[in-house]
Amino acid sequence: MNKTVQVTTSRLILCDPVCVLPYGHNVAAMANFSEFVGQYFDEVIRIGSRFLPADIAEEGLIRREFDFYYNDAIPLSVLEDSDEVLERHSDKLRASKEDLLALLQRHDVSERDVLCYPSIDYYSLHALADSLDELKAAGSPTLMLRLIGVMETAASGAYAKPMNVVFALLSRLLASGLQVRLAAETPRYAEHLAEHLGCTIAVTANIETRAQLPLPEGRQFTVICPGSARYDKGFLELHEIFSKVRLQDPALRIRFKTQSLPDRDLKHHLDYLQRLYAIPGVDVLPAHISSAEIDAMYEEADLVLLPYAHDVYQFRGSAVLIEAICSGRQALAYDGPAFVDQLRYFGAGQVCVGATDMAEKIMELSRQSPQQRFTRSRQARERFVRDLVDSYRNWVM
Amino acid sequence: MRKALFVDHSFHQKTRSSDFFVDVVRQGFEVETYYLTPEGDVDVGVLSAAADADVVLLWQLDFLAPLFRAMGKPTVVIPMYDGSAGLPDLHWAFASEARFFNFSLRLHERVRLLGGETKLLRYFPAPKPESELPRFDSLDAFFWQRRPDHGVTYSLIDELIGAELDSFHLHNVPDVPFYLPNSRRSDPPYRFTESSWFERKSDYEKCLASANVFIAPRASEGIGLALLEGMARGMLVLAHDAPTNNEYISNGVNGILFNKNVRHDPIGIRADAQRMGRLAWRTVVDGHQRWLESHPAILAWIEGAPATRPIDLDFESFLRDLWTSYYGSLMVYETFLQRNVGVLERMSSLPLPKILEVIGGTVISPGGSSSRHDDRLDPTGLLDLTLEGDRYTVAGWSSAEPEWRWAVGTSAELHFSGFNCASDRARVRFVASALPQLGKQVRCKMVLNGVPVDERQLGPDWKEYEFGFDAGLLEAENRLSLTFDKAKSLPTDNRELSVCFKSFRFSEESQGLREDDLSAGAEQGRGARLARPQRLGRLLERVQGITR
Repeated sequence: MNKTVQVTTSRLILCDPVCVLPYGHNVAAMANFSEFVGQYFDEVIRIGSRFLPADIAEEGLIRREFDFYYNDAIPLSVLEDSDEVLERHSDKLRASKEDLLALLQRHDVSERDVLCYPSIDYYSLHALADSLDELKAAGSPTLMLRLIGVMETAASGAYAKPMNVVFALLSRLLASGLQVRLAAETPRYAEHLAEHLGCTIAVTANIETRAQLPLPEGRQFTVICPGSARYDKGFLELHEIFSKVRLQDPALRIRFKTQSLPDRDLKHHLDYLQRLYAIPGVDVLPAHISSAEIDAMYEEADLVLLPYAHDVYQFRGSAVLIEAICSGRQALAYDGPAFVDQLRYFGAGQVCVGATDMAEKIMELSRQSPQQRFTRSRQARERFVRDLVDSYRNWVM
Repeated sequence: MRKALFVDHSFHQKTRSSDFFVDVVRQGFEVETYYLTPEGDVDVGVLSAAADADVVLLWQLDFLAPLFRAMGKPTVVIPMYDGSAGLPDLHWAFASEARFFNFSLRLHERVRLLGGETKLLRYFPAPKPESELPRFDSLDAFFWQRRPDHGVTYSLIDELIGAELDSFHLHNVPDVPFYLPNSRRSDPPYRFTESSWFERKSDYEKCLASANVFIAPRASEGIGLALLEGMARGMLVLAHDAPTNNEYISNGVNGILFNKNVRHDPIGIRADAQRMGRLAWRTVVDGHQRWLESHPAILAWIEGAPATRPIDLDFESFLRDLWTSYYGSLMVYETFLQRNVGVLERMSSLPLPKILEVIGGTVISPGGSSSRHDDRLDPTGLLDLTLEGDRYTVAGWSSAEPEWRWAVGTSAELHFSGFNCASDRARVRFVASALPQLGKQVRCKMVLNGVPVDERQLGPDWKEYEFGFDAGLLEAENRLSLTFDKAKSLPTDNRELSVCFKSFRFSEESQGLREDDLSAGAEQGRGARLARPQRLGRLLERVQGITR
């Protein structure tokens, strides 16, 4: 990547109160944003939750400053039986504002700084919109807010229509005179936001630049479902898909690897897990696996499945799709989610209308030559990476 | 080489069914096997045998884990689903500092969710050469009627597949004496043969080899060696739908699962028998290779079992009490464990509150708190309990059976969401039938989100019941608790059954306020019916997007 002209702003301050778990995408996003967006700045400061494990924070150069406002949605073992849990909406509002004001002071934020939220969360957004005077007093730092359709509406169930509240808070920021640059993870979400806010929204996909992996050798064809399983990620579709393929592939040439549900959900679905486990040629991995194990999954994979729910993913992107594209793996997805637009646009795979169709397409792809699949994946990856670089540069500049 | 003491059930001295595992352990340890006879007197010699060992392995005798942990010995426990699945959480808490191997996914997850360190294993024997796989020109069944007391009987198998068979060999040697009325068909559509003794093992194998349909003899298994043998031979295997049978067989893919507790229509097997038998064999070919590859990890897991500081305890006396109580009854055993919570506290890292949670019935689970899952009612308000999976069920339910689901024990719980009731009152219609063996009526009490909403007698015939409740009780996530005054296990089903249910259907009791009424009410800031917080919440949702 060629280094482009640096803007005059001195510091990029990456803020993510949801950067709290040792696994998942938030810690990785800190590193990716530091590299990808940070190249336009003199200095990068990374700030995550004060409950992020110390070793992970140290390794990722992440300062542990934010309180955790989302223990109801993402229960932390470290907060089990703790009196530090923020339970009430009002307490979370207060804590997030205090965190923001402390940040402005602690880091001596000025007009030359950019506060960048790689995936803005509700309470941070509220804190920003509720601290206009303080932000202006600090010299009006630029705000770069990226919306990915996940945590920005996580308002503890305080609102039946939290997206309306998000629009209101964003409008307040946009009207404040502060310099606010908005981005969304998917084109569809960007259009949706633009329509409601009356301004231009950049499209910035999940940052991923990993090298394309060679396709695995051997006669097996491995299909993977990476990431901790969830109902909205189609976990309950997998039995039908896998069984249908198995009946058409009795020689077990096609293999499946999927991760299990997190424990809190698994206890309701042990019967289902058992039935999945019993299908010949299916490996069920734990809900949480190391990044090395995830990398190994992609290395072994020929194909990635994304049978995600169209309603939940109406505006959302998929980090797994982006990983698949960059790893050089084709994907199959159910139609409807916002990331399917990207899948289509980049030619990163095929879209299916249901489990039967997905099973048929797995069979079809398993019969294609690895060279054919590799070439198609390389084309998708090249286009995606170029687009990604341009989109972030345009957002920053 | 380090010494491992392998403590096993004396029954396996005869069946040799643990040999395959001991052979693996021998690759890394000098193994001494010590057999204990549960029906016999307690054998305290196992204590001195353990004293000389570097690590103790308990095959099936998981209840002894606290003894060796108290001695400070690295302990590896290999429990079996058929023997241990029904044991209380406290049993597992007492073994919590040991390491586990589990051959059942179900048991593995239970131990893991209770905080145990467990490694899931999957055993597969060596497959028969492809050239020796059976043909399926005719369908010839072999069934060893080992546990008719569990309900897997000749007459059941005859009912399921008899019409399709060309021959049926019944090896009629129950593991335990059990009287079964003679239900042999006088004129079966197949050639019937029967044995009660094989002179040599080769005679048994010859008989088995002449068949191509194998019926798993027991309702549930620890590993399922007999079933795996059938799969390794490329036979069509049929088994009752319970672990570990259903962890090796995917119904209709590489075998057939049936439910012995449900009256089935005959199962058609002729068209797909060869395909399923061949896929069963492939499953074993693939699985056996993986089993061989897993040996180093097995040895490493044993090697890594941690030692602990011995606690001050009269081990011999503890063993005697433990032994006697375990083989006394489940109730006596539970009482013994509760009485010895002090021992558990001294030898485990579990804090007292966690131990009390286990005793009190709250399981220890990482990440603990329950959370929302996909438990939304369908658009018509239907909570369908016959759906596969555990969408609505939380505790106290059987797996879904084709037409109903049993409440197991005297309490059961359902979760549901997605019922938007615009009326003041909601109605529930449910279809249920009590276990006939419980008499004319079973008392059932229902509590919604902590508030009693219904109490009635349920009869043994299928019937639709109905009750209404205050819609203000509804929350985004709802918890419906059911309690029954009795439950019973049957000779053919060791579960404690009470009532089976098909569905619950939620609806509005009356039209209530319409949406425009609400808007009008909001504008006027009045209306008695808007006084309840629930109503106000909905009003604000419409007006401002805020519910609380």
